[in-house]
Amino acid sequence: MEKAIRKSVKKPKEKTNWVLTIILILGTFTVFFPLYMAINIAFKQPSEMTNSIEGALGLPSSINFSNFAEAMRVTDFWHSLGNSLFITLATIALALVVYSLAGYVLGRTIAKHKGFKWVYLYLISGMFVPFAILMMPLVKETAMLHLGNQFGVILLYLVFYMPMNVMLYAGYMKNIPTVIEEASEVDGASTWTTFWRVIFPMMKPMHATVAVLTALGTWNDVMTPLVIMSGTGINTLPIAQLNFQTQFGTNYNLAFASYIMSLIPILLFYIICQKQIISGVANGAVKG
Amino acid sequence: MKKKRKMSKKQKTYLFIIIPVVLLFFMFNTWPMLNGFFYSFTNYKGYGSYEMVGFQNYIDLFSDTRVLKSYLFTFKYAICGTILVNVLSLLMALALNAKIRCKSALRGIYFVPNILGGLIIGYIFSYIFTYIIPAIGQTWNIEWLQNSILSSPAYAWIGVLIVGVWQAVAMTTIIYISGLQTVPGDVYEASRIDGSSKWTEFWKITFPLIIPFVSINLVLTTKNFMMVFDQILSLTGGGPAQSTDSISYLIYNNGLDGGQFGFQSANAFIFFLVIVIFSIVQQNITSKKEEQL
Amino acid sequence: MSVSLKHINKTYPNGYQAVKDFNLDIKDEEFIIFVGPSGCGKSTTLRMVAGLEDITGGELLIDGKRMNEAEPKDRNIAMVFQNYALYPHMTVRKNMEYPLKIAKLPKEEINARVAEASRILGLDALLDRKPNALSGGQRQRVAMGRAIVRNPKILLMDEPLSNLDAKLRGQMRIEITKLHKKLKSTIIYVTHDQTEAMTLGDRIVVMCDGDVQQIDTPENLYNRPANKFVAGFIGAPQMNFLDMIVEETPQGALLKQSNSTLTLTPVQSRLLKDKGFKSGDHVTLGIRPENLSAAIDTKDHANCIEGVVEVFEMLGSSSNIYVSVNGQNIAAIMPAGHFCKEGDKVSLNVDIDAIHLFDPKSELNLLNM
Repeated sequence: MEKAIRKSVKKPKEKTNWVLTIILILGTFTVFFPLYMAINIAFKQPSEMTNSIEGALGLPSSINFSNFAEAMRVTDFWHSLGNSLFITLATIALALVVYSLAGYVLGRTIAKHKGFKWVYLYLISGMFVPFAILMMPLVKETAMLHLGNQFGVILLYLVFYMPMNVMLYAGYMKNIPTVIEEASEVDGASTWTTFWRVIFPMMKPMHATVAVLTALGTWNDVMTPLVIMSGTGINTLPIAQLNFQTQFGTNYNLAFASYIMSLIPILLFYIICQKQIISGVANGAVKG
Repeated sequence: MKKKRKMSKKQKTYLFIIIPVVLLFFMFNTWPMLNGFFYSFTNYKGYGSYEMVGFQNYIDLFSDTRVLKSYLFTFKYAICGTILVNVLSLLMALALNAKIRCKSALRGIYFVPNILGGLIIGYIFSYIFTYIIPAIGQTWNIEWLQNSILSSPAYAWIGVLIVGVWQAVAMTTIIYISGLQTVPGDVYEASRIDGSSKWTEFWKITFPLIIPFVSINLVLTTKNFMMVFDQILSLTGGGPAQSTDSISYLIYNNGLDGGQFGFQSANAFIFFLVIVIFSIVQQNITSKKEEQL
Repeated sequence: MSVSLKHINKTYPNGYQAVKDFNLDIKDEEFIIFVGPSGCGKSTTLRMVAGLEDITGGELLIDGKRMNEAEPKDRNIAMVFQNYALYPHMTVRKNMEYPLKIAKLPKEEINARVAEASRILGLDALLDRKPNALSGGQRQRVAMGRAIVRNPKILLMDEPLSNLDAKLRGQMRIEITKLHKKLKSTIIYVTHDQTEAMTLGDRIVVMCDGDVQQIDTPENLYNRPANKFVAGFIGAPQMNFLDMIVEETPQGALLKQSNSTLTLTPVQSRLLKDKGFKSGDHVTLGIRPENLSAAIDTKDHANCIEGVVEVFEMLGSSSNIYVSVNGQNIAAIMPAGHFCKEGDKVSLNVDIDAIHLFDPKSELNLLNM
């Protein structure tokens, strides 16, 4: 579909707009400059940081990874990275299973069944609930249930992203004809088997969208782990930066080395699956 | 009777799936919300004992200057942010959808801010605002650049706004691009034959056709800007002089650390109502616009 | 395996009655066709047999056992769907393996059965392709392959050929007949196309608006339609219907219409009289286009219908003419070599032994004994 649209939009015999190209290339400065600054400072020594413009913008005198090593040590980088990875991956895995199941059931029933229609509206209504209103009671609730840890955070993510993603999956069910399910039933499969062997694989485009949205949302999220896991000593990468900021506020070189390290995983992910990420995000927004 | 029994197997599977999902949702969304609603009628500090105070918290909200200031800041920030982001994004989308070289590379680069976390971006910009821009100001003797924008109570919000817009443009642009791609090419060819200029072509043809995408973007950006948190936490911490206290940040800060659990619960509830009302209004305007088309 | 439908009813929650009192006993290895215009309830009935649709009333017996409540998977059936319903993410091989894997057959058995089905249907070269890389006819074969790998005792087919072009449809009709001989399974086949129904079925169920009109062999449906609907539905071009007035004479009954007069045979006259038709009553005459011929001797106007040619169609081996008879239109098939043009007056000779007479109100066939 995407491709077909793109093709039909292509206007033949139009000349390349060089002026626009150059303006856009110059404009990428606004994206690169902050990143350049961060990398630049991460490699400098505190003695190189003068208040002059050369001191601020100039290149470091030598490429030296000592800041990174030190930042890794003080932020306990590998642990934070491990926690972030664990939370993100576990959330994605659960998200795909739980949302697709719920989306499947609701997508097939809301048109015919009042009860399920209400369930659907109930879940969707969660989209309007800002985290701020849940934050404080959730802190108490998770503490009481001994969920003030990664597992609590994962469960909470699963609930927060539920309205939007269940809606996406339920909507996607329109693209999967019921006759496919009937064929599978006649072929001898139960509803459960039909879902896993036929419906779930056919939802692939939606899985990509949901996985990307969930990944970006959980990886960068500060608020949830901040309020749920505070005081436990368990850090995610953003939380490690937050703690770092308050403890070592003055050493910018160390801080920026640490920032860069926490940006690298998501940047790598982006460079590898750029196409899927952009289309996934756009898909989610347009359909949701 | 027979019918009931026959349906039950599939129906049972459906219920087996949906009941745990609903329970989970209730437990971590509806239940805490009801809890918060309950606490909003108490003077609970977040610890220790508490009493019921009726609607006192709600009454106090409207006379609490800090709360009112936070609403003012959040609305100002959300309105300016939404307008800026949508205008910039539409321009960017038009440019990135035009006949240019390195199209996909440019699109990829301009999307980068969206995937980076708000907290770290905030820290990087904080450094730029605090050290680099004043350094430039000093070198070239530009007075208004010599002090950090983030330390000025009058202008700190603009600093936060710049960072918010920088991040939000990426996503909004991508949605506009997918909107522009739904406009079939022959529509342009037809209008070109009719002899319309680029300017009228945009307003008479492109824009009406992408109205649905405009409304999606307006909803998304307004909501995201209303709930601003990460940037406040990393850039200003609500300061200076509480000039950049966003509602989310105030609820977090005073509710969890400031001993105002009950009071901020009331605040959170009002905030929830604001979001709901905003969404309903937005929905109505959008559906009317789409009907007109 | 035998299938029995006893007083089967289907009423939707909104009150719409899709199938009314359907009774049918299907013998083992029989090829049964459900035919009728769209919305007549034929697919609904098939889906009730498959277990995809609840049965509102009545009893469904498969091999003598009540199956109303059984899940589709417990009915030992296979089905071919109109749009094939192939699993798009699986290759042809995986599609055919699927029902066998669900049944947890051993690997060697699965391979053997898929190989056999693929050989019968000529799918060997396509086994590793996905459905979207296949043509309509190939998809159709895969859908059949998926149904036959299980050696089903009952095979259901829901308009399996309706998405194919005319030429392919003709070929597939022959293949399905062969397949039925090879498989020896009971087949229930739904179609809206009377040609398919006539060529494939041992017996045909003609349906309209949820009612069974007639259940009979193709030959009997053609020669002895129960009512005007069946008479009009079976046969192409369609049977002609003309409104006639009865006139009783000592020699027998006559049918009159403006300047045309038909003399009925004694048997026909008696039947008409037994049913209570008198002089001056209206009756609907049914005559197939193939039972009309151009009267050469224009003086002999016995058993002739007079009209004006409106359209003449040359088909090669024969030609169709469409004639206006006193405001009513009738079609006739002429042998090759017979020419006429628009506006010509024509006299059509009726093969009086091949006519049908219908009660204008009940539309029942009056000549059926």
